[in-house]
Amino acid sequence: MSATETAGTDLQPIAGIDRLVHEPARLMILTILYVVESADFLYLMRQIGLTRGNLSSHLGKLEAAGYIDVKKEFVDKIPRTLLRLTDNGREAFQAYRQDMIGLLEGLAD
Amino acid sequence: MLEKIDLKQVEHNVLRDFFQDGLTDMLFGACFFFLGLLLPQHGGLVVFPILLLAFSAPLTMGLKKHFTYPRTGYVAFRQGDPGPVPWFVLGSLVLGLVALVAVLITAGVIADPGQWYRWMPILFGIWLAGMFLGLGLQVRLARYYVVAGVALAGGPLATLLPLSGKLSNIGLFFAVLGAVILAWGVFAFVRFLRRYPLPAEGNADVSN
Repeated sequence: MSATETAGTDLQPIAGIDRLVHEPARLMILTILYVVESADFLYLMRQIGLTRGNLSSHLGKLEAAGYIDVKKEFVDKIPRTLLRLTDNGREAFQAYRQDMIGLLEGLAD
Repeated sequence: MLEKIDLKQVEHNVLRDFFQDGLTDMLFGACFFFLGLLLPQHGGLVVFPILLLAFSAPLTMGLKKHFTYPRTGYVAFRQGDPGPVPWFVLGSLVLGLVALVAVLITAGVIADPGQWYRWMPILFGIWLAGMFLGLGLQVRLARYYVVAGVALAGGPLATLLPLSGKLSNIGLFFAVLGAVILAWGVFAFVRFLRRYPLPAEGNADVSN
């Protein structure tokens, strides 16, 4: 018998939370990209406080899911990685917000 | 316990980051300062600070590309709800016009339209105070509240000073306000450069 079955079917919606968005570092990335048009790698790294490798890994996962668009370009011969939330990413973020509000509001103190 | 995340606050933080380098202040301060210097004596030359003001957006972006983005990263704002600033601009403009008309009527200047220029610092003072107050509320940087205060207090002061020359009072107002904004911009810019040194060569944007 699984934990969710033990607790009853009322907890099942928690299992439906988008785990890709739920991870704190990725949630921070999506939150920033949600309020801006686009930002580059350096800006996100500064805002979120992740290491280069860590941020790169999370961005790779979000890109693979189609939540962000990654564009590599050169500005005055300096490489720049520009990141933007896709429509799918925006919908996923909004859905996550609604899910969390709905789930947690129903909990008794 | 975790604090509640406010998306509007995240937006404010992004906007505050945009203004923290002081470049916008330096450009606007220089425009106002030279406008104030040139207006009383060399009216025709005011075209230069006005042109600088007109092209301030691309100029600021060019400077940011050189000084800001390599240090703190690039961010572009969403085109959408512009926030409370336009309401403050509109509100302060209406308030400024009402105040000006009231002052003109009580001072009896309406009867002598040739004296209208004497009261221009009050109008511009209220208008600019509203603009900087709105900007301060939007980006949460204390220096804009101070500039709003200087504009509000400077308008009546510049009006009351017994200066000769039609445009001396408004010129003084713009020169002093411009100098304050410019000086604060330079201070913010130097602080920004010290706080955020350039990343090591080739290390600015390595995402993979």
